[in-house]
Amino acid sequence: MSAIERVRSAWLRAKTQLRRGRLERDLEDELRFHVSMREQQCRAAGLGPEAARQAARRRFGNTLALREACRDVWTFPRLETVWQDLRLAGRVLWRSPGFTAAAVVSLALGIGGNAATFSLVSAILLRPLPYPAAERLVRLTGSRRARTRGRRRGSEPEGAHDVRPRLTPTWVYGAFQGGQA
Amino acid sequence: MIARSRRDERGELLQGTLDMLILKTLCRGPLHGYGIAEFIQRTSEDVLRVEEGALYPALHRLELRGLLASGWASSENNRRAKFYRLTAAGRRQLSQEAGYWSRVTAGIARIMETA
Repeated sequence: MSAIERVRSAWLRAKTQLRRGRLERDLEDELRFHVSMREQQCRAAGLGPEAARQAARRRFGNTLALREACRDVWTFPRLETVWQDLRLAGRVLWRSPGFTAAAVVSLALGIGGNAATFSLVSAILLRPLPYPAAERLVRLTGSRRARTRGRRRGSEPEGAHDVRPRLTPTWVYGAFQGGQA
Repeated sequence: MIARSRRDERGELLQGTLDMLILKTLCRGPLHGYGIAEFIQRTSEDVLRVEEGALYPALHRLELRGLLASGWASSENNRRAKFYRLTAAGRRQLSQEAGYWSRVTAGIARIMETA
């Protein structure tokens, strides 16, 4: 189906929503006409009234299902199913307020907790360090001996100083611990 | 979906073929659903027996797509019936599908005719 066809059929369906009664009546009339024509033909072929009626119905198939299939062509069946499901959910929740309250509270706590955790993680771990060209940062770690010797919180690992003279001038050198530069 | 008769003897219609048959039937002039079903059965000499009700969802889909137009009128025995007729778009679709259909059947025939 082309885009124009899609828009056109959506428009036709929307228009049909305003005349649901007429759609139902027309469908009913149309299908009934067919079955009664077939019934007449069966009678002309020599069947009794009851046998003709049954034969016509059998050949036609499940009228109710077919009428629904035709109706679905002109309406938005998926949208309507979703709407029905939502209404059912609403009714069920309304009828058991205790359960609803518990569900709402646990959802609220869950979402709130997650949001708080994420904003913390984002601030500490994910935000880039405040250097130009942060994607080119290299992390240097000293060997175990260098790290254990006289290291204080917030100071550079001792071995790091040895690297500094060998870096080309375009490299910027800094030290950080945890998430802070 | 349709032609649920004895499968080995009678042709089982592929989905989509019914649409083409409906369009083809209507290029002879407006007709109601019953008339279309009768025409297809009679013309195919009962090989294609449409499960009659299955015709209607197909008709409505074609109408929604603008390939058919419909209106209520008196039938041959003076009853109110819904008649369908082919639109210009339906005519175009029919010639497209007919072309495709003859290519496919010709290809299948060539294979089946090999020894």
